[in-house]
Order: sequence, then structure tokens, then C-alpha cells
Amino acid sequence: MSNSSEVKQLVNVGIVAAFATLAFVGTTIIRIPIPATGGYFNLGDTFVMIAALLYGPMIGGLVGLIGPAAADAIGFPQFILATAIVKGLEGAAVGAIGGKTKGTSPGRVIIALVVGIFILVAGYFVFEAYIYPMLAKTVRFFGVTDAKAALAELIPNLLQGGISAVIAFGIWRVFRRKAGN
Amino acid sequence: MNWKLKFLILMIIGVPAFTGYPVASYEAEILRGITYGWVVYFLVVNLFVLIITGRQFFPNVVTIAVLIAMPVVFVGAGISYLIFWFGLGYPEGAAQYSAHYVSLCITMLTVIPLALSMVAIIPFQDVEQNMLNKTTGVSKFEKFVLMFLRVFNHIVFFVIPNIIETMREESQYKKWINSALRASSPVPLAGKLRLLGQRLTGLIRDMIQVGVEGICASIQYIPLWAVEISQLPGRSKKNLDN
Repeated sequence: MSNSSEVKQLVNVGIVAAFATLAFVGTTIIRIPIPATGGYFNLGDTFVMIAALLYGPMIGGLVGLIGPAAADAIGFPQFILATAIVKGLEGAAVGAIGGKTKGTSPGRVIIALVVGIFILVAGYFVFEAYIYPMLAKTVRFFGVTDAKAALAELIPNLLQGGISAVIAFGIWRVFRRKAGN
Repeated sequence: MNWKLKFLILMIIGVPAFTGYPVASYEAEILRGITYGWVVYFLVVNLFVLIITGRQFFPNVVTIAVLIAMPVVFVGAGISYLIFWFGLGYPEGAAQYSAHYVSLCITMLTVIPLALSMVAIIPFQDVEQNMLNKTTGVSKFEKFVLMFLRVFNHIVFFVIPNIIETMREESQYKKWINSALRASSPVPLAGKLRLLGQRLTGLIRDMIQVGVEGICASIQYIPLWAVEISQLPGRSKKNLDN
């Protein structure tokens, strides 16, 4: 392997580490519980979305998979599985649609963020209403939610995604200006 | 006891927190919704954390755990009460969720000290130095680990403390609170709502600024470190023979 490709790989690992750590911190510092499900509202999605917009689907997906799931390990371990899958998909989708700073229009970025919010809201709903109750039949640990609780979490998740997307869009615009677009 | 053994012990103790087994099997309740299993587990975890991390470190871990857990628990209880107050839920009363918040508090005071201790006992600097001093060369995976550790260390011990210090120096926390919003203020309701809107816009703007500063400070050295780490000798057969 040539040295330049190894440097590139190491840069990518560093970027994933940086954004995953920031997503971890963003998820841990601001936590507002949602009583119906035992879950919580947070702003870690901002860093998943911005990583995806700046560096594309692979890095966005990995950041979503690692950072917020690591934060769930502190106090909310039941949600690690759902968070890793939902946020990994969210990062990958946002990155696939609106990834890279150069050459992406604000309209495309907004569409990417809306898709990201949809994956966040729909993903948690599917996990909490169907997958977790199904898993709970064999592993009681997952018996924390049901369809009623999943419904109650729709609006908080929508708000979480919306506020995170607004902040991510603001950050993206700053980087876009710096990149000279 | 070396750090790897300590880490292994903490990992094994942490298994019930992530699987529920066997703690969830003990269903006898101390109070409604609070089982003996989880309370005993909370005591056992904290005892092990005390033994492994020592008397000097343990109070710091507990302090951080309490500082993270208390806002979550009390804000959550406050939100539950507001939901009840506006008639949007809890027909049996807000107290219906008391047990939920007590058990949430117990869970957080169990898992946070455990997780913080696991991070704190890893001597990141020594691990990095050991990798750098290897005569057999450094594998590609080890290079990736080295990069991950450097970035994690840089953000946790340099970037975030600096951002918090800057926010404190610039009194950003105070900026978000306005005396005109207080109930006793003579400003009319419409004016208060307008001010609240301006405050929220300002808050989002400040969060964007903090986000940009955090990202820039976090990634600025990555290209330099990547070049530095890539120049370490790889683990070739020749290096292994030496």
C-alpha cells in the first residue's frame, strides 16, 4: 500500500474518531428524558448529520454507528442496538444525498437533512413499536417499549431531529463559505 | 494490578448492565418499580469501582455521575409534572412516574461510574508510547487505534475543556437569560414572547458557533498526525525477524 493511501485512510479514521467523540459528548451533555419510553431527547444528531454532509455516507454512517451508541451505554443501555442501526442509517443516507461541502446546493442539503429526520423518527418508531417488543419475548432486557410508548416518542424525536438539522445546516453553511462556494 | 486486568474486571461487572442478566431475574421490590436486583447491583458496581480506582478517584467519579444524572432525573420529573398539569397524560397522577425516575437515577449512578472508570484506567499516553517504541513495527490496525486514541484524547482533554472555559469567560450562559423574561418584569406578554423568540434564535446561533469551533479544534491536527503515524515502520516480516 502506498504511503499516500495510508495517510488518507488514517485521516478518515481520525475524522470518524473526532465526530464520533463529538456526537458522544453532544448526546451525553444535553439529555431531556421522555417519560413514556424511558428514552431521552438529545442533540448528538447534529454531529452525525454534519459529518455526513462534510465527508459523505461512509464517514456519516460510521459516526452514527459509534458515537450516539456509545453515549447510550451511559445510562440507557437498552437503546444501544436501536441507536446504532438508526443513526448509522441516518448518517449514511444524509451523506449519500447531500454529502461533501463542494458542489452541493442548499436545497439538496435540506432534502438530505429531511430524509435524515425521517429515518430517525421512523427508525425509532419501528424499533420501539415492533422490534423491541418482539425481542423482549426472548430477552426481557428489551422489554422497555411498546406501540403506545413509540407513538408518544414521535414528536420528541421529530423535535430532536429538527433542531439538530437546523444546527447542522447552520454549521454546513459556515464550512461552505470557508470552502469558497 | 495492571490496567488490563482492572479493565477486564470492570467489563465483566458491566455485563448485567447491558444484558439485564441475572439482575433482572430478582423481581422482589423494595418500593413499587424498584427491585432488589438493581439496588444490589448498584451497590456492588460502586464497591468494585471504589476498590479498583481507589479512594482518591472514586469521589470524582461519583460527583460526575451525580452531575450528569441529576439534571436528567429532575428535568424529566419536571416534564412529567408539566404533562400531568396540562392534562396530557398520567390519569393516575404525576406520581405514577416516581418509580421510573428513582430507577433511572439508580441505573445512571451504576452505569456512569462504571463507564467513567473504564475510560479513566486506560493510560492512553502509555499505550501510545508502547506502540511507538515497538521494535517489531506497528501493524495497520495498531496505527488506526493510535490515531483514534490521539483524537479522542485531544478532544476530551483539550478541545472540550477549552470551549467550556471560553464560554465561561465570555459569559455565554448569562447571555441566554434575560431579566425581562421574568414573571415580575414590567415588559408586556407580547414583548416577553418576542424576547423569548430572539433568545431562542440567539441560542441556536451560539450553538452553531460552538459547533464550528468544536469541529475546527477537533480536526485541525488530524492531517499532521496521519502523516506522522503513517511514517512509523510497518510490521513487515523483516521487522518481525529483528
